[in-house]
Amino acid sequence: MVPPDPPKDRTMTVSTIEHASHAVPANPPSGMESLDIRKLGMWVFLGSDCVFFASLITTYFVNRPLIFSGEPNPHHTLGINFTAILAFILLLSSLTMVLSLAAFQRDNIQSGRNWLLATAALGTCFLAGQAIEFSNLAHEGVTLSSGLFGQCFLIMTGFHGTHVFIGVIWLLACWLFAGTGRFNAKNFIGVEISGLYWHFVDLVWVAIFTLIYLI
Amino acid sequence: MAVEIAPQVAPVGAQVSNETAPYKESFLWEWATTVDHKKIGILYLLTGGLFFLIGGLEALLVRTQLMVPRSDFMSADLYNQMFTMHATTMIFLAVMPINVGLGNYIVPLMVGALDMAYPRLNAFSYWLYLFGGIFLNLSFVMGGAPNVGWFGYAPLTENQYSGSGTDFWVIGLQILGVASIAGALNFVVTILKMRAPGMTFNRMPLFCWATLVTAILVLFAFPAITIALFLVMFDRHFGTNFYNAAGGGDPLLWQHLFWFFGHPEVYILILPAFGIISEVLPVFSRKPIFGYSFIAYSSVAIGFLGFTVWAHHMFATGMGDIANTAFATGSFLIGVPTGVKIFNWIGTIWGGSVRFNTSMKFATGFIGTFTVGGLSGIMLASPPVDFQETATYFVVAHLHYVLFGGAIMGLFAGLYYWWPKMFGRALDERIGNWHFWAQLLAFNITFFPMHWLGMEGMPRRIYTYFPNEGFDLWNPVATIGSYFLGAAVLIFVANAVITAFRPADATDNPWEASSLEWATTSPPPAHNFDVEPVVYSRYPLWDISEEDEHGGSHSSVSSHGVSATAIATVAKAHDEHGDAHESGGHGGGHGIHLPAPTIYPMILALGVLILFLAVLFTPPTLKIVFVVTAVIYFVVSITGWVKEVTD
Amino acid sequence: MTATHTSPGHQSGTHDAHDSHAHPTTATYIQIFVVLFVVTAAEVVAAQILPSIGMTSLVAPSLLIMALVKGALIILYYMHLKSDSGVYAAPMVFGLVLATGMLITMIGLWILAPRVPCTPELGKACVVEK
Repeated sequence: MVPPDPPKDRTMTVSTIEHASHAVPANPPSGMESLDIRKLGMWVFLGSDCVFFASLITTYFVNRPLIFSGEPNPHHTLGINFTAILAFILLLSSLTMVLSLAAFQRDNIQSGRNWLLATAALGTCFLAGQAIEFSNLAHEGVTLSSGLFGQCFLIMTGFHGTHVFIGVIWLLACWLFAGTGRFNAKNFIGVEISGLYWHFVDLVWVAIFTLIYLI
Repeated sequence: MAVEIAPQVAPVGAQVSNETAPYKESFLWEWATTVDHKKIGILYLLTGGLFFLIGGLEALLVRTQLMVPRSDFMSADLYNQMFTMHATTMIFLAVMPINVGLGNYIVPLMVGALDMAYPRLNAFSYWLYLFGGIFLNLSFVMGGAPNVGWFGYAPLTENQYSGSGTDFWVIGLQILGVASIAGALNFVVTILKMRAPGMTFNRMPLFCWATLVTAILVLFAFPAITIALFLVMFDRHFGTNFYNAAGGGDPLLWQHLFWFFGHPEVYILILPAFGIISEVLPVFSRKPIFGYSFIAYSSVAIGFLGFTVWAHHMFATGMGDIANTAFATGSFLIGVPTGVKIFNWIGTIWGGSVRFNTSMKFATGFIGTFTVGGLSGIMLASPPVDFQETATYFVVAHLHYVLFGGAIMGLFAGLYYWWPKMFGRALDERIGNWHFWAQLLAFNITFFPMHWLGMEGMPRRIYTYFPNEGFDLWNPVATIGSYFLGAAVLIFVANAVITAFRPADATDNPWEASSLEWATTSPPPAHNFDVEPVVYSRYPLWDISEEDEHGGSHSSVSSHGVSATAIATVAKAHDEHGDAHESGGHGGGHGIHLPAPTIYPMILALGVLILFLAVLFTPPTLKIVFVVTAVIYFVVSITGWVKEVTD
Repeated sequence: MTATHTSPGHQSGTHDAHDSHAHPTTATYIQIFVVLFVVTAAEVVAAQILPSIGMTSLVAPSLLIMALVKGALIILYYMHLKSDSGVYAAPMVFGLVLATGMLITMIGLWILAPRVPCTPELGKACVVEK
């Protein structure tokens, strides 16, 4: 077999002759060595989840003029003070989450586990609060089939609540795994990743709370 | 919380952890539990190929119905099912999976990795795709296939206008969406994280660039259609009125959400083909790609701009002049990076020492037919032209020129190119020649007249037409052309079958190509590379051959004189270790620990299929039972999966 | 195009790039939370007080700014993006850009071509009620 002609554009090939005389260099960087595969994967997933929630929020916003021109008026129906408490709960849970991670990073497993449990508990409180809010709204006649406001609002908060629910399960799984000694100062990536997911869920609520409840 | 990681390739001389002796598994079990990207790639190719034939059959039925005016070959409803399923099958069950199949096989090899980043998730993506495709097609015998078009315009999808076929369509697409998103995640992390030492982005093969951008598009476009489909489901079954005007909803919301996904989707379909062409042309022109950086960055530009032009599918919906102008501007703009690529590809061939084999024929043909499609696309980007041509056969012509004349041609170029690497023997060149010319001719006979049909005013998506409206000549021509097109595709199938009986004696690098996949045997061993490659340029294997010319130092030279195995930049084990055919998923005698095969991805995917069938087709009381059973089943499967990962 | 961080010799999956920059302390985390708490309270107050003193047009901009502040704090500190490699930020930034772009474009499209309710009085043919 005849070798192909040497590439015409010689500027593009680094001369290999000088490299041939050296030993294979120890891991020249391809650029991303220090990145963790799982953490990167979670960030990418979260980026895509932004579009997911954007679609839901967009659905609400393009319907907003019609919603506000009819009944019920969201500002009157939504209990802002109650949901503000829910917002605080979720923000607090982000704090406990990051404290949990910090504890594991310091090899304080017990403390890490406790903070995990606290986060899951706060998340459950949030869900309970959402359930109460949904039930109050239902009593006021706001349901999925009651009209534009009901459907847009409930589906958006419903998907968020589902994310929270999955998060709580995940946190409890972490808590269980941590009990078997899986996470410590050398190996905490699992906690960090579940933390990223949890903070994202909180972020979405920051957006929803502001855009939907207040504006 | 553990997630599987594909171990990096062992550095030179390392004896990595507990390798188990290869053992004999049953053939079926081996394929059902595989997490090897090469096997999964072949599964994708086979399944995608099968669905391609099914989608093709649906197309032939559509064309048969349209051959003569007032034909009663098919009822209107059956026709609607045919064209809906033809498009849905071709897009989601054929082209995308074949893209993913080639990507799965080739990308890890091209970047010098052992496997994809998440091998089990990779398997799960495949099985979910297979079962999603089965689910979608079961509709034919379970109440009727979807008949709302592949784009499912509201309010046709509301339950007072369409039957259970729409539920199959909605759920099927959601299942396929999850599979796609998981696969895309895998590609992004693999390409970002698992490149060989020395392979900076600037030295990465263009097929990897294309796959990376495609994967990013999948990740960020699918969420929009996921929501859009959920809203359809809620409208149909939970009393909402998102798209139902009488209830205050807006059908146009569907169109926006759908096309926000739909436009990136068409770039998802074509970008891998662009990547293939960028690999094939240099090899068979025996010169480097002209304007590597331009092609790489134009892919990124296309990817990003692709998110900004979606409403050019909606010019005629009354958005107003400002909106139309804005989207038209973006649509004209997006032609620029593509045009840059076309010129770069021509520049690659120009002045090269061209070897015009089948793969090269398809690659060159691609440039021609895709450009025609691109030109009709630019025409449609102008709202005044689009007002006339939208929803006519002009658009059908456009989309088939870019999707068949583009994506499919590109895929055939890639298949002929990589076939020896994947299967150890090349496809036959003479049969390939017949395949190419028959396909090229038949394709143009089928689809070119559709430009004229559209300009004459023949609408799309109609099951028949009246005589003497100017459609009577070209419809039968297109139909006959389509029959020949089907025959041409069968020539390829024959090629594959016939060559399967030939000896698998392909060398490592039969085409004298430059990228890493050619630095190992054909097909590669289970662990891909005996030693981790190190890369110093864009053309690692060409450096070596050049070095041999100049008498540079390197290790062994094979009996072929100069071979890609003998290289300093790509270190490889000696030829004594040449036997590449390990059984099972184990590294054989090389001490490399591969991710173990597992059945959990498949049974988890199977559970999804059964769950949705059960939910759709059981009475309400039984539904709860099924849902609860499914939840338990999922928990068990996921636990089993996670346990395997952690053990 | 190489990453800005090339921390040497790391096994993937273990201790990540925390070595490079100031690692937030527990005190920092709590301080951030206090800020989040205060800003949220301010949001609630603004939403309810501003309209009653006739500054309704200030509501949206002030709330948006406050939400952005909260979001940035969470992303930068709780999700550690401030101290981590920039590559992690890229997907999130892209997602946020797309999300914001979609929202603004769609709102704009609906402003340019408002949808009116389908009522018989408008003389439009409506679809049949479900």
